[in-house]
Amino acid sequence: MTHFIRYLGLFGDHIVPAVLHRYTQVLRRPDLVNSKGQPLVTTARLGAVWKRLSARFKTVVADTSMITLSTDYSIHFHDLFIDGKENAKMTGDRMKMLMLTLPFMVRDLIAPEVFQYWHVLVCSSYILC
Amino acid sequence: MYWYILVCTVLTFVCTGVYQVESINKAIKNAKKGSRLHGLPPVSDPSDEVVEVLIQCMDWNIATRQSGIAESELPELQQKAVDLLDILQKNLPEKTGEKGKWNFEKAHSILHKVREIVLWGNSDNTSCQAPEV
Repeated sequence: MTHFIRYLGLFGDHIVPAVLHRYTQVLRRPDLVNSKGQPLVTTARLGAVWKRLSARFKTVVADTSMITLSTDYSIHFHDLFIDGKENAKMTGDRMKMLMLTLPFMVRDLIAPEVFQYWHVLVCSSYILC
Repeated sequence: MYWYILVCTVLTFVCTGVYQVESINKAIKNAKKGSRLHGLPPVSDPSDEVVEVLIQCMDWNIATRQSGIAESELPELQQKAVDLLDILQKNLPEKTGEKGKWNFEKAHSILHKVREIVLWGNSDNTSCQAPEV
């Protein structure tokens, strides 16, 4: 009986890479080039997007999310899905954690965050008061 | 108060500037005639579509891993699998650029999940870790 592991495999091997590919497709659209013919979103800028995505995992803490993801988890995600390190593997339990958190991590990854202006106001008011 | 609002506005502008969609669309908008970017359609954030897929994945996974699924719930569970495959094809049509896209055995196998639950019981009762393979 392999359906359970097959599904986690589908998620890790195909769905997550397809999600990352969808973002890459938007940012590296072939016609988005500068006057020198180089991509408007450079490799470094694209790398910064993935770095931000990985860093967001570190913000998942049990107080607010009922689970905590460590810095190691964040590095592991980056190694596996961004750098594609051959020896990087994710256990089923870690994959389930990814399934639970990824919908929240990709939200507004490449666009301004929801209520950002309001958030700035609130944060600043804490400093002022 | 004035300086406070000013700082907030500047901060928001600075923060917005680092987001890729905003900066690409700004470059397209400001492109002059003759530029490669002139007249190109703007880009849009795919987050809504991606989140829709991921939530459907999570929903389907949680639903299929419940213990004691009633027989009456199985048609709904099967429909969820069909919907998941549909939404994968709709929202992530290119997959990662392969020819086959979502037409391969592993993706297709989610449609067999209900049948396997009927035949073998709930997935939580099983382990597919290396020693059992």
